[in-house]
This record gives sequence, structure tokens and C-alpha cells, in this order.
Amino acid sequence: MKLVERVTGGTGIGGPLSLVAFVVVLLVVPQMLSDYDLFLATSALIVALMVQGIGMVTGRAGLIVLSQLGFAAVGAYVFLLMRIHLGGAGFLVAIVVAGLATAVVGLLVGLPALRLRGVNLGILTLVFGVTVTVVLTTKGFPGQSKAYFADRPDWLVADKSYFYLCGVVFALTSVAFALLDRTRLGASWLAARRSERATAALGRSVARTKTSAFALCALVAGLSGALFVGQQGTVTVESFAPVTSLIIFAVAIMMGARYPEGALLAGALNIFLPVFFDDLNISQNVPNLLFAAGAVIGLLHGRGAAEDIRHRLGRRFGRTGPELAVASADVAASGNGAGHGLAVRGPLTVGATRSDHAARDVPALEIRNLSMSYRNVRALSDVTVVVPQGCVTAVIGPNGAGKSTLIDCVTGFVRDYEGEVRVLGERIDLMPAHMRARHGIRRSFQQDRTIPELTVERYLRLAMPREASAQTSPEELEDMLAFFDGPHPSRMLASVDVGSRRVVEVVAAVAARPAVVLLDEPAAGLAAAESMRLAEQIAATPARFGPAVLLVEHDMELVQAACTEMTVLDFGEVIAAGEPREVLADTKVAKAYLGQEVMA
Amino acid sequence: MIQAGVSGILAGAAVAMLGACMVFMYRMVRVLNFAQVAIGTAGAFVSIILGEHGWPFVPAAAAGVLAATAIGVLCGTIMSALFTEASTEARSTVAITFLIALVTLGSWIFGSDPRPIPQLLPHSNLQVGDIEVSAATIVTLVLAIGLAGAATLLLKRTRLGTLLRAMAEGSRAAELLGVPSRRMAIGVWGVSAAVAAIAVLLAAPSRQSDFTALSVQLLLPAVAAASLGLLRSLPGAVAAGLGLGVCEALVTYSSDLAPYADAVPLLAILLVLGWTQRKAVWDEAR
Repeated sequence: MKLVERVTGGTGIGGPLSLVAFVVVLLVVPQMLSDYDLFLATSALIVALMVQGIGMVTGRAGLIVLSQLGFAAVGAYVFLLMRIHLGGAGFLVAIVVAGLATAVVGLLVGLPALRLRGVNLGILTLVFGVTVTVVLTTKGFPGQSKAYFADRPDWLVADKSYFYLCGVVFALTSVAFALLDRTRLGASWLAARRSERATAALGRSVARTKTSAFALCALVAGLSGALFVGQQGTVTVESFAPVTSLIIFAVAIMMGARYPEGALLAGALNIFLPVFFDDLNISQNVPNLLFAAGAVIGLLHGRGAAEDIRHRLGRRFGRTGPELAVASADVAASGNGAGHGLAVRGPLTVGATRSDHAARDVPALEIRNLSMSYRNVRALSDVTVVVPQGCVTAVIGPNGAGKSTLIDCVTGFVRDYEGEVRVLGERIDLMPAHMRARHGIRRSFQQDRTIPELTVERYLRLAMPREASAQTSPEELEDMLAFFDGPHPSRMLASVDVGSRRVVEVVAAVAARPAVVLLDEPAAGLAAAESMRLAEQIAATPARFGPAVLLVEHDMELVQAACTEMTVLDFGEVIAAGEPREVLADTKVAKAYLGQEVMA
Repeated sequence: MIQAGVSGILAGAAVAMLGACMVFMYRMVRVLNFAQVAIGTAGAFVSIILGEHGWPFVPAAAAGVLAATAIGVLCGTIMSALFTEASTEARSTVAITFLIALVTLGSWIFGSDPRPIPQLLPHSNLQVGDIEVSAATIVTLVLAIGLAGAATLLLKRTRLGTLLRAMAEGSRAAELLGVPSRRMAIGVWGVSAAVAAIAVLLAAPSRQSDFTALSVQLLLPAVAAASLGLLRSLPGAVAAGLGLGVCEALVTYSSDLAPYADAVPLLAILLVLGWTQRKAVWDEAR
């Protein structure tokens, strides 16, 4: 598992150091190259910029995008439009506007991605890219008929200066992407790649996560399209052939586009390899075949060549990456050490939760007359469960009783139900899942839904609202994890065993300081002793950390040890509710669990 | 107007066959075969070259279909040797690399100049009222509907169909039950390739005729048809293919919009998938 830890933690070979290295190379390269090679090197930078977009959507968010040249064509179009028709827009202004306008187009293309997934998204983006070229074939680029030459301003006329410009743009986007990776949005991309439900359950908007990835992808492609026009002087639709999009996608897969050096290598390979073969009088077709083969190898390894090198170097130098520093950045951001006032070892103050502002007698969670059907099957009928503040309430019932559906309804993953759900008195029925999470309902899942690329601490901070994260010191998180027997906060989640990852999920739900935490079978797969230990921890959660708990569980011993109230569901109906002792003595409950014969 | 729509049926029926092939492969072997059309085009080009060398129509066509089958089997062998357990997305990306390789090799071997494509079917037309229907249109239409129907019956009614569905449900699990998954998967690749070659042969005379253009031009409506069939329904893909063909022909007929005929698939995908998938708020992962 060490291996995975290094891969994913290895974001920091260099950081600022590699930026410096890049700048040095950028300065030295033009002095060594002929004019022709410099022109090619500029092209390589432009392609690298485009590949970065693939690194965003495919490398980070895990979605297929086959329309990079379509986006680039849009960028080129807008750039020419700015330069010609909106007279005299500055060269740099035109480039920036082209990037931004393309980002808007990317956002629009990203919208269907909220419903289309996997290969359907591949189809959509491919068809989009082709459609762009079809439209442009007919309409033409602005100024095309007048043989417009995209004249560069004086200071950019020299090929050397233009190379510097492209290098600077690439460096800026690399740094921007690297910084974004450290934010909550950056972690959300990785989260959405694993599971959209889990992302929303962390209070993150899946819509914003996905569309932002597409917008950024289109942004860099648009910039590269504009820079391409500036480099070539004039442009035709043939430069944006859809097949070339596929080849660039293949090169991106081959090298691994998530990190700048991968994008750079992909760009260089895409441009220089054909030239190299040409010099040897070998057919120009060979490089494309090599790209296809390289992509197959990349897919076999599950990562591209550059990502592989990064991972090997990471292992060699034993870096766990800058994740620790990153995780603490939130704390530092809380400003002027104000956050450190809370850095007291020991229990968190109850006052820190959302419950703080509500009267003590308002229930943390109120489910009133909730009914829900899947077509003809009534999954829940008229279910009422109330979870008072400071309490652990259990919902039990045989398989198929509707427990999981209840959690899905309450947390907003199933929304066509009748009835009311209130959190601290506030109705939340109209809110989408991620807003409910932000309004004080957190849940765990039956399967492990943590994000392997993050450290435990970063995952917890992703789950916490920004202010709560800022107010919580690393020591507090460590204490919290220790209380639940969780792993150390600096561990990569990929290196943590599955049982501990589920603990981390529970801690994340609690650490977000919601009004109520819904735990969906947290003890599944635990040994009896561990399960009893978990029962103690859950029972202590409201008093120690604040949130009330709604516990859905099969393990009767755990339930009895952990809860003070209990509701029994059978065939979607509440058949008993009250104190555990009374409820379990109820003959209806025994019948539901043990079957008719036993009672006869 | 009606004549224009009818002429779209030929293109549409070929697209329908290709789209149905893609759906069939997606269901059986978990891959969206972006290379489907390119494989068919390769076969069609073999036929054309042989025809140029004086081969009669039937042997030339048969040789082309066989060549496509061989390429399909090769692709299928690579896929099942290396990517049996990989995700559908990864397998489909591998298919993209097949597409790149085929387009590269195709334009390398066959050249990138358009070449005359002989009308392979007799150029006789059927007169129905004012409307002329070409023999090719009827043959292609019958083939498209017939093959989709046959495939549906095969899957539902025969033992082979049961074995295929078992493989589709879980290749490894089926193997443990004695289903020769790997061989069947490769067979699916081969058969789909053969059908694709026939489709391209029928559609080629009315299309652009250099290798890359033919592969890409037909690929777009074909993936769109597969997608509109929700990657699930063979009749759906056939209907979508025909619909796209007719729509494109009608758009081409109205001279104002003609240049934008190739944008029809994008609109169709956005409208149809946008509507049918409107409730797919969450991904599969729970």
C-alpha cells in the first residue's frame, strides 16, 4: 500500500522548485534552438496547454472529453473576432477573452454531463467537437476571406518573445491548477470521480464540481486556440480536425496529463515525434501508431508515463507529499491565530455545532408522515421518527424494511416522497442533497466512500464547513480520530485499511458538526468486541461532539448499547417506537424479526 | 421533399446497422467501439481495391467482409487479452486507440485521395407513385431491420443467446459456469466487424470516399444512433439511425440549413438524452 501512498501523495516533487526549473528551461531553450525548432517548441507549449485541459476533466474528475480541438477552435474564433471586428482589442486582452469565452462554452458542454456519464459523455463531446468544425467549415473564421494575418504587437513579433509568452501562459495555468488542487474544489473533483452521492453527502455540489472541471478544461483549450492563431498568423478549420482531438487525447493518456510535466511531455511528443520521423524519412504515420500504442500501455498501467515517473521519484525520495502542509492551510487561513484559541486538547465544545442556535427542545431531526413508493411498491408509508438533540436514536428492522430508503429520503438522494423532514425545526424537503448536508444532516454510507488520493486530515477538512475547518486545529482532529480509534490524520486514505476508512467516514460526518448524523450500518463487518467499542463511541458522540445520531443497524447488541430511543420498521411501516427495552419486548417486533411460526 | 426524405433512408439504414452493431457490442462486451466504422471501412476498401483489380462483385465483397472480420477478431483478441477486467470507459478508450491506428494505417495504405467507389448493387430504381426508391435503399433497410431483429431473437430465444447474455452479465462468472467467454467475446467483435463492413459497402457510394473522411463521417451518426438507443436497445438504435438519416437528408434538402446537416446528431443527442436521462441525477456508485 506504501506504493499507492507515494503515487497519490507525490504531488510535491518540487512545487516551487519545479516552477523555477521550468522558468530556467524556458529561458535557456530559445538560445539553443534554430528558428524552426523554436517554432515547433512553441507549438509544443500550445498543445501542452490543451492537454492540461484533459488532465483536468479526465485526469482529475475522471470524465471522458474528446473535444479539445473543438474548444480550441472556439478560442481561435473568439480571438479573431476580438482582433478584427471589435477593432484593436489588445493582443493579450483578446487571448484572455478567448479563454474566458471558451470557458463559458465548456460550462455549457459540461451541463449535460450532470446527467450523461461514462461513454455517453465521450459521445457527446466527440459529436460537439465535430459539430464545431462543421459549423466553422461553413461560416469560416472571422477575416478568413480577407486573408487576415493575425499581426502580433511589436514586442511579440520575434519568435523568441512569442515562445516566452506561451511558456508564461503555460506556467500560469500550471500554477493555477496546482493551487486549485489544494482547495476544496480540487478535492471535490477527486470525490466526484469516486461517487457523486458521497460528494453531495460531504456538502459539495456535484453540479458545480463537474461543470467547473469542464469550464477550466475549455479555458485552457481556448487559450491554446488563441495562441495558435497568433503563432500561425492565419488559420483554417483543417487545423482543428476531430481526429486530431482523438490523437491528443491518446497522447494525454499515454503521458498522463494531470501534472504539468506530463502535459509538457505530451505536447513535445505530439509535435517533435512526427518531425523526428520525418527527418529519418520514416512515414509521418508511424508516430500516430506509436501514440495509439502508448495510450494502450498507459491504460494498462492505469497511469501515464509522466505520472509513472513522478510516482517512482516519489518512492525514491520517500516523500509523502505536501498534503500535510495543504491540510493545515485551512487552519492558517483562519487568520491571525484566532483559530488557535480553540486548539485546546480534549472534547470539542458542544456549542460549536449548529444546534447552538436552536432551543434545546427543538428536535435535531424530525421526520413526519414520510411516504415513498418505487412505482407500485410502497417502500415507506407514513413513517414518523423524531431524533431529539443530544440523543442517539436507532432505526432497526429486517432486511427490506425500508431503512436505507428512509436515509436516502431524509438526506435528499431520493426526493419524490411525501411528508416532511425538519432539521432543528427548519423544513429541508425542497433542498438538494448537498444543501441538506450543509444544513445539518450528515450521513455515512454502507460502502467505503472515502477518497484514496487524500490524507485523512484533508478528507475530514473537505467534509467540514469552511468556518468549522478554520476553527478546528490539527490536534483536535487527531483527538477526534483517536477517540474513534481512527488512523493518524497524516495517513493517505489509500494506505488505510477498509475498516478504518469507514471509521474516518463516521468521524468526517461528526466533525462537520451537523445537527444530526445518520449512520448507515456502521458496524457491518466489525468483530463483536470492536462493535461494542463502537457502540460506546456512538453513545458518547452527542455529549462529546454535539450532533444527535440516527443509527441504522442490524447488530442488536450494538443498538441496545448505543441508543436511548428506538424505532422499528417493517415493510415500510413503523411497528414500534420508544425505549429500547420496551420496544424489544413488543411481540410485533419479535414477529417481524423471527417470523410468524415462533410466535404461534 | 418526400423524395429527399426517402433518399435519406439509405444513409440512415447504413447508420442504423452501424449503430445497432455498437449497441450489440456495448451490451455484450462492455465497450463502445469507436473503431466500429473504421473496421468496416477497412473491409469496404479491400473490396473496392479488389474490384479495381477486376474481381467480380460477390467475391470482392466477401473478401472485404472477411478482412473486416479478421481485423475485428484481432481487436477483440487484444481487448480480451489485456483489458478483460478494465472499466467500460477504459475499454472504450482502447477502442479509440484502435480507431486512431486504423485511420492512420488506412490512409497510409489506401492513400488519402478520394477514390471512385463503384456502385456495388445494380442501379435499378423502384417507382412508387412519384417517388423513386433505389435497390440499395431497400436492401440496406431490409438488412438493418432484419439483422437487428435476428440479433434480438438470437439473444432471447437461442442457447447461444443465453450464453451471450451470461457473458454480458459477468464475463468471469460466466467463465466459471463453463461459458467460453473469451472466445465468444472475440466472436462478437468478428461478427460486428463483418456487419459493419457490409453497412459501409452499402453506404459508401453516396459518401465521401477517402478512408479518413468515410470513417469519421459515418462514425458520428453511428455513435449518435447507438447513444440514442440508450446503448441498450437494438430496435431503438435502428430507429434512431433511420431517423438521423432522414433528418439529415431533409436538412440538406432545405438549402439554407444544408451546411449544418452534420449538426443534427448533436441536437438529437442533447434533446433525446437530455429528456430520457433527466432523472439520472446520481451515478451508479452508492
